[in-house]
Amino acid sequence: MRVEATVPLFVRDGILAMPAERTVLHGMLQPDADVFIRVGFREVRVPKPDLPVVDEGNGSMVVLGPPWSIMDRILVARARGDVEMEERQQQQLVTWLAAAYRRALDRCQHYELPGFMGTAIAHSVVPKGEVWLAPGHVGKLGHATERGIAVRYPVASSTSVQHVRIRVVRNSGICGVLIHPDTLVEDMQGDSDGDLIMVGFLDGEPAPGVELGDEMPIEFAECDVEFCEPKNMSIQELVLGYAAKSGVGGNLGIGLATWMTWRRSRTAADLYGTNMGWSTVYDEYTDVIESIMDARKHGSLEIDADLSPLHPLPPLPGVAAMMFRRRIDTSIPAESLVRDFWRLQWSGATPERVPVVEVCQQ
Amino acid sequence: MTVRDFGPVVHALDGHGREIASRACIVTVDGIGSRFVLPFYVEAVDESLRILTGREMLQLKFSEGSDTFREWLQQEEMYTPSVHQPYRWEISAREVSLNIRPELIPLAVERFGIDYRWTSKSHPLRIAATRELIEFVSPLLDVPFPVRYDRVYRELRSLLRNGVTALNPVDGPFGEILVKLRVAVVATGNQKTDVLYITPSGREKARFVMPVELPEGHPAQHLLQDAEHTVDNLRWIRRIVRGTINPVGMKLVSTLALKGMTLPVRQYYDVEGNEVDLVVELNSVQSKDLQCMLLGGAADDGVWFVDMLFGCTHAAELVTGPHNLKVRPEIHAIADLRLDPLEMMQKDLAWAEELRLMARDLGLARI
Repeated sequence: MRVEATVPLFVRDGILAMPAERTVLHGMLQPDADVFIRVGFREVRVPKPDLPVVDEGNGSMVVLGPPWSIMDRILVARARGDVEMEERQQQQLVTWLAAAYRRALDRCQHYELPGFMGTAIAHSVVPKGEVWLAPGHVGKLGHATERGIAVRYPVASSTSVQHVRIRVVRNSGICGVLIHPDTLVEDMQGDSDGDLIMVGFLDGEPAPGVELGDEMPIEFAECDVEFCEPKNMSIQELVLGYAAKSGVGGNLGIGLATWMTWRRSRTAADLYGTNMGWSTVYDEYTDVIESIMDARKHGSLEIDADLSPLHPLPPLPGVAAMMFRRRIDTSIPAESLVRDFWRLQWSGATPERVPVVEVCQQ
Repeated sequence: MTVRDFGPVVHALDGHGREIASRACIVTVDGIGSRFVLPFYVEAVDESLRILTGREMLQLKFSEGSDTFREWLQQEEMYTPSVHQPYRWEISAREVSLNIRPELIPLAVERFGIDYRWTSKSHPLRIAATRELIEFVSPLLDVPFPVRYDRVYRELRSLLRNGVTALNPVDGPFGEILVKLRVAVVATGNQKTDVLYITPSGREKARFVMPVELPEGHPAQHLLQDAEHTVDNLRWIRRIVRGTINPVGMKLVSTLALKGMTLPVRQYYDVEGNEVDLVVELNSVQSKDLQCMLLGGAADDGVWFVDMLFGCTHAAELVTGPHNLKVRPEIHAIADLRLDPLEMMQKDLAWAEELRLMARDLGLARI
């Protein structure tokens, strides 16, 4: 079906759009029909809509944004014989399309698992290998399963992600994600001063409950205190410490998927397989992160010379860096691009090779 | 290097005679091209106002009227006094943004008498304090033992800016956001987890109220005491609920850098039979270099008792609840998940493919 417009339209971006006759919107509402409009001398398909229909009390309305609004303006311009406006709208459509395609691919850099988020609360009552979800007064939990993964944000090493067994705390007074102190501090490199833990539900039976009572026990132990006077850092030490942090490409909070890790993991994946490749590279950087964190506290950076080189590269994850630099070939299906990304490959652009001998030395 | 010193203090009024900016000063260091903004700069240029915030330069014409100003005021709401965060404005007005290369910071610090130890955790050394600010907060730092000032200032900044109103305020400086708690420092043999165990008496004393704005359907919504449903920003039809809550699980921050999420425990008592409000792990105290604090406290068989001032900056309820986990390739690989990622993103993939086909229809070989 091809839609033509012969009358002026009153459709505007983002406001109210009625399914008027001979508009893009009207065409889209035809079930199971492929809809095309003429743009220049080409027939261009109108993407299938997922239109947000909202109820505003006085009736339903449709919020119409690009590309449909742009396409509609093209129809209007042609109906009016306004060639200049039609060409301008065509250019706007191309510009929007390039940005939208990147945004769509960008969203394919992750998938979502149903899960639970909360602040990390360390307590030794929780066995190692388990996390206990405590929704507190919020009360809602979603459909927790007995198996899942727990991720401490930000991800600082391969051990920041743990496969866990999940239990649900039935109390109303405790709020957060309860976890064993060793797991949180040693494995995940976190603490309980506001760090977040994300739990993703995988499979299995519904997570069993656990009764804690409203108050948790504390076990006392022997102590040993050194009453030494704290050392204040000088301005030079502070600057040096924070410079060390920025030296690896800015904010560590986004994770370590910088171009450098991407590049190295690609090579490591050739040697060890995809999954082991990532783990190898992440573990390689764990010592570096710890050195950096120490540098922030003590004002001096000491990194083992045998570790991989660190470059002040932009903190863009690999695929984002590539997407924003390259023009994307439209002959390659989106699925192929995304599949390559998840295999740590990218069509048409081979990541820079790192000498095998260098990787083997790690 | 020539230095143009602090500019004039400007008072700017909106169309209703309301003061929108005061204490606006600027320092320009010629040759470096940097500015210290305190906290933002307003100047009249011909028929417009030029406003320099910590992030951007805005130029507003007087003729654009009060609507534009109102919009701007909403953006800069953080600078207006709030009954829930009583000291936010007081602190912001005495801070300095350092937008210069790190190696120049020591020079600038010396030249302008800035205290670099007062900084932001998320933007280290980008924020510093004027001498006036250090004097302003000094009553809280009058303690008879040595502390790590870079640690203490950093947390104190967070506490004073983000601290919400206490329901049992103390007398003294910044009392509106502080409560005095009896703390037992004990060795538990655990890691430095930073958990703050809060007893029933502590839960009674450490009560705070905080304003909250939540999207409709948020799991913590029913905690709002004075809920007001609002449609915000008609263009995108975002429904929100505003109100206040009294947090139960919360992040407590002390004036001496001790901080952590609270976990309820049973009641404890000190050697004289007084109620203990908080129990803190010794490791958490030592990790903050605060062990000298214990020398002045009463000790009993490996347990120290000290009084400290605490405020609340976050409520655990607001970040706790169902939440989808975004799995990126590194998480997928490290966790060795057996799911097919493409199966999990069918909708986004279909949309991307539709856009690619549109591009092909338009005759675009590359976009």
